[in-house]
Amino acid sequence: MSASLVFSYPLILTALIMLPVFWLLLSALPPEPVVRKFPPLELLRDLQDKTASPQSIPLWLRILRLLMVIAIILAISGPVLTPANTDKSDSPLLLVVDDGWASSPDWSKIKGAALSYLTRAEINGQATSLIFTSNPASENQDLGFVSVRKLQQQLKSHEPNPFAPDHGKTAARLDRAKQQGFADSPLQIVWFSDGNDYGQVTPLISQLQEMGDVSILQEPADGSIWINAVNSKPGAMEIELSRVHAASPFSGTLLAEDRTGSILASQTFNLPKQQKSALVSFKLPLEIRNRMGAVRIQNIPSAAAVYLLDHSWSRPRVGIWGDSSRNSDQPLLSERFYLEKALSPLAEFSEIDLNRADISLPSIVILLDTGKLSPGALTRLREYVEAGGFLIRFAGPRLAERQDELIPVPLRTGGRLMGSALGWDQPQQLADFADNSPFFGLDSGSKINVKRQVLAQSSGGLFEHVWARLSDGTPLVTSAKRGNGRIVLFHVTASADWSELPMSGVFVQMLKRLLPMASSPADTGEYEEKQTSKMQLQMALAANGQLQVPDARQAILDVSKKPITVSAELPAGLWANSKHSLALNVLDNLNVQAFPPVPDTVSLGNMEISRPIQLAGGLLFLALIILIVDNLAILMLAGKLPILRKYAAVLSVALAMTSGLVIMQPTPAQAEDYDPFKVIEQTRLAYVITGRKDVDRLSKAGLHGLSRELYLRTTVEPAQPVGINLEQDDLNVISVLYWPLLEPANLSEQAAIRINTYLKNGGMLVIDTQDGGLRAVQAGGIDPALRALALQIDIPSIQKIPDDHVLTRTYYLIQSFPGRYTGAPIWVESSRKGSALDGVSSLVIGANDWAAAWAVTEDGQALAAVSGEIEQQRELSRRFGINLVMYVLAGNYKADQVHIPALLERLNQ
Amino acid sequence: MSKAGTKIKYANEFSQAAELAKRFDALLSEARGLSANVIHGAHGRRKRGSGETFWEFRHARLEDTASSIDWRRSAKGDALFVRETEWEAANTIYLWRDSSPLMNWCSSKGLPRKQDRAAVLLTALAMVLLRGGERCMIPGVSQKPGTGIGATRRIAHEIITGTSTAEQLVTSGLRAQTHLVLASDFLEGPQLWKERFSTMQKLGISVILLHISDPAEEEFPYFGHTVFSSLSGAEQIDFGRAQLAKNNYQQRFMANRQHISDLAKRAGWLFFKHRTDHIMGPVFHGLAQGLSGGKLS
Repeated sequence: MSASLVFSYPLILTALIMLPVFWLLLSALPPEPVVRKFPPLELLRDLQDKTASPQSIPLWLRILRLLMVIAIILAISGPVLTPANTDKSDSPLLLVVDDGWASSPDWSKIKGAALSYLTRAEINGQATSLIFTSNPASENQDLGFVSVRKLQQQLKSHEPNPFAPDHGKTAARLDRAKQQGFADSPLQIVWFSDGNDYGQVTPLISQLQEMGDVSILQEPADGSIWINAVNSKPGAMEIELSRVHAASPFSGTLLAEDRTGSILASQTFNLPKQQKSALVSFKLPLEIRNRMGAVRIQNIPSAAAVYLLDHSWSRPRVGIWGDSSRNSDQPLLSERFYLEKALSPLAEFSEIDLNRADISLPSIVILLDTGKLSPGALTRLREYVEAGGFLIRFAGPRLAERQDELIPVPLRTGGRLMGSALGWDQPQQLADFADNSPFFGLDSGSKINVKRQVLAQSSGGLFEHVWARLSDGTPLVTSAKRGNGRIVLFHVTASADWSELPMSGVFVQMLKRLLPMASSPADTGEYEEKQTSKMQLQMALAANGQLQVPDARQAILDVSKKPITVSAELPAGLWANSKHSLALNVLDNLNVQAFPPVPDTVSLGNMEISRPIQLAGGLLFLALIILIVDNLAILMLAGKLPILRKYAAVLSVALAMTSGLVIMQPTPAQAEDYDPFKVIEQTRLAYVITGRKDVDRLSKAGLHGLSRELYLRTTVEPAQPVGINLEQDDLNVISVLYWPLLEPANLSEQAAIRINTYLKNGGMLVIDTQDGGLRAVQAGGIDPALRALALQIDIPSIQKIPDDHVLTRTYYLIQSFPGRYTGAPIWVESSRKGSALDGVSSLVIGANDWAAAWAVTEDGQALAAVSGEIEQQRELSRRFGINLVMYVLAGNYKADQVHIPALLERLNQ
Repeated sequence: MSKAGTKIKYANEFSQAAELAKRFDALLSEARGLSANVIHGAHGRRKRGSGETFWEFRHARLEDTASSIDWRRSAKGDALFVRETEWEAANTIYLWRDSSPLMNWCSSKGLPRKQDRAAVLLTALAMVLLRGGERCMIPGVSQKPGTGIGATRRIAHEIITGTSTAEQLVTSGLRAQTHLVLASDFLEGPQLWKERFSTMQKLGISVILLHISDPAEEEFPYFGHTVFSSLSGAEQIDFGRAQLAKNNYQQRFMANRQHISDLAKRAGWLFFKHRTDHIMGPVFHGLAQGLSGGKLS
């Protein structure tokens, strides 16, 4: 492709004439002298060469500076490299511009390309016309040949629309124009497409082909990614992302926003090359999830990158009471099963117990066929409804026999059986919903049989309470206000015993309509007379994906007309009436596909080609580089570059030191050889290897000292203590584990599980923070390491050791538990009847640094000093150690002895 | 310079000197010549006094403490004896560093000033000498000579922070028949120094000269239009192309140094030269050798 160089301001190029003058100027000006202090100045006297002219700028530097000046002059004159205009056709030009949601992210690019075509048409003297595809029928679109300038203005002021282009309507509009004699001769047609097919691309292409030569320009941009659907799953919101052009990978962030636009959560996602859709899920707590108003792809300014959520998306909490067949051997036939299936996409539900007064009731309570409620439960439920609660009841054999006060309409006793062997009448079907019912507009389904129901007593006011009825007119769902609340009664069971309703999709739809009412249950009744199918636009979605207050033109949406697709008349956004709200999204009921293959006669192109290249920026950048080189050169000539060298040296030293530090990183402590079989042969005390050498050494010496004392004084004859690596070693063969906890332990999940299992299976953990309780005081109560540990392992509830604890008398009678320090409290499990452990505490937590007090060398010399240097304290500490081991090995044996006097007394009798 | 700044500088140079001195064993300067106030390092004065070698037993007097009595000797008889030792004394070595303004300069920030480098070398020397039992004195600064390792800090402090000009040294600081180590850049001109040297010669002082120079003074690495100014800035010489003067300057510099070296040779003194960007080990070794009267003469 040939190209031509054009200058925007060619006059400035005359400045180049001045270059020789500049050259002379450069030669004449010597560089600034450098002033240097120099002690042997005497030696320099009379050494000047008077004839030598001062050092001048070297030739290469002068050339460099000249180049810089040239680059700046050229840059100012605005050089533009434009591709050669290959099509010199003089046939009239028709621009077809897609201005739907997908064009929004790249609108400036599309606009620029269209404008460049218009400029070219002006040069070529072509007649020009323009049509936008998203709203081709609107009156301000005159199809006719108008001046380029007018079209340019129209293009510049035009903004894309937040809905899909309607290619079918465009084709029809063009056809009509052709009938009216719009284009007698063949046209040159350029279609700026957004690359998506909404089902009508092929008709439009054939229509365009009838009118002239067609070329299609597409912009394969990242921006054409959209949110296809949002699915509410228990515990998560699943968002489907789609795109048509998958030539390049795409990664982005998905934001969950509330109704005011604040961000609630974000989630990154990746679409690899060739992958056209992705599923992203938000795992959010229910309270947060209920606040979600929209899901948005960050930084994509497109209306389809936003998915609005209406109130039906929030998941209320539902409490269920009265599951008669919960424990039956046919759980798949139980009411609860059907209800759970229907509710799981809509709500979070849990079982509640009405007989317990201490739990608060959720916003919706579903009462299954329970039989008689206890008076307390009944009162409680009545108060709940009157205070604004929302009660949904299902009938059943028990309600049919005995009704209570919490029903919307009086019922006849016994109910009605249809289609049975002894009955005359056939099972009845569900009738269409009346327009005063909140279910109005739902498809009632033709084949829902109801075999049995409870019957409302007919009375004057019955009609206004009925929300759904059978085809013979008997009420199926009735409702009534009660205080500030509302009661809704389904006259059938929630299981399939009485009707097919719980098995149908309508059931889910009905619940979906019902649940949002719980926010204002009493209001519902006041508007029952109004039509519920008309909605007004509350917030409109702009083409760039922002929500805005709609303009004065009030559109009315009739939800009963289906399917609803977004158009200029029905813009995307949040619609609402007094009862419901509805989020209308750009791509609702619309199928987006990749562009179909085009006929050979149509040329398919890319918008990049026609873009002229601005050279000014590059030239300025070149001038900047030369400026930097020039400065460096001046520095070098002045002999100041060694400074740079010095900094390089500093840098390299810093680098070397950093790498040295990396090398000197302490290596993790090597685990000693740990062999469970060896450990099991003899009793051994065990300690946790913390990785800190001094601590580990002292632990080992401490347990060695304790083992030694045990050997000397008791029948426990332990072998050498063993070090345990919590991340690797099997804890099951160890009876007591001493853990010096000086800093928060970084346990892996497996290690935490292993410790929990160890504690449950009867192991004992002796945790020693070894600081005399100092860190706990500093942290204001609880040692930070312990606090961190409690998050990782199951620490049972603990208490300060009571005076009469077994630990005080398992071998010696002791009242204090000193180590190196004395006085820090020790803590044991508070429940004395620890389930698996026969009352033996699985935890002893202290801070007295026992290991230090127990520690001895190989030949029995004490290793560490104890505070206060009292030898008595060391002895007391050993006695505590012996008691501890006895406690582990013998359990609560000593505790039993407490009752011996009583036992003896009884024996005497 | 602030007091704190001086302290830091002092500590820095002291540690450098200590580093250097560590590498050398104790050094005893060889006694040269006999004179009234120079006492042989290892030899006694044939007189009782402080020393290690036994001199005589004398009868104890009333003022003697009980611990000074030699009980083994006294046990042989009825009288009490005190053990006396021979008086031993060491040489006094004078260490002097030129602190003229010309020495207070370095060509780039990475290099030490000439006077600092000289101070480091002399301090190291003082440490070795003191360790060897010699006495050190800084002419014009020290009130009294330093003896023993205990004086190291004081002497080092005096070398590093003390100032005295060559005029002060010649007019007041010298005593006849002493040893002197003299560090300077000798830039004040050979003529001036010749007069000073002759004064020293007349006093019979044995001198070791240490010529300190900055690399820029030796190599003249300047290029292009440069204005050289004196350290006070009072005098300036403009060079259009500094590189043209390089050869002539270097010749003059070498000639100056050669001149000093010749003067030293004629007087029978030792001459060492040192550049501040070179390592200190070789020149220090040479100085130590020179003081101990090793192979060099």
